Amino acid sequence: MTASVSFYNNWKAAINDAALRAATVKVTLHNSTYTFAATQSVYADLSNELATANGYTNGGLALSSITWGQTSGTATFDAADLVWTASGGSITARRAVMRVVGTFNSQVDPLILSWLLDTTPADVTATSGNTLTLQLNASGIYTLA
Amino acid sequence: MTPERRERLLQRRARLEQHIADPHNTPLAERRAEWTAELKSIEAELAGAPSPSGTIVELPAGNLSAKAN
Repeated sequence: MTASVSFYNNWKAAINDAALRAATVKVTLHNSTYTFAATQSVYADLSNELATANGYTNGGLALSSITWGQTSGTATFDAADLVWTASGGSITARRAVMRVVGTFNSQVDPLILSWLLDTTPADVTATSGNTLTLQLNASGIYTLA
Repeated sequence: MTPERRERLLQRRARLEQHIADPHNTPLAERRAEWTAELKSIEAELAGAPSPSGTIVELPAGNLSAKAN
């Protein structure tokens, strides 16, 4: 005998809407020395974030315009694209990491996901006076289907 | 404007319009102001305003699957 479970569409949207509507979500940039591990849980587990310099502020950039909606059974978490402007030097990063700021489910600053910015793998760089834009996917940051 | 950028803007516009129109989101005044401002920016870019320049990283979307288990 095999049992199964199915979510109601409304809950897919409701669960993260309730959780994220009051939350601050930030994205940090890390250099090539940082190694991603799916077992890392909170911001304190991370290493090699860029220092405050050249237009980057240690601690990361907050997502703005967060949306979380459900269409035809697929819920989508999304936000405005992220933009840093390099000034006085270059911004160079290998990975970006997204987290919730604050205590969430009894964890302080829990991690959500990480992007490898160039799968070669290679660094990405914005030189002084130019912007580094993380253009979020047309399908959103992530979906729950 | 790249095809990927255009697709991103069109999908994002649809999402923002949906959120702004949803009466359940009425209490989210701060988010509503952000949505409205971003929607205005997207409309301007689709109408011909300059797209972002510099280094642009096109990110993949993630998926959390609520599969039966």
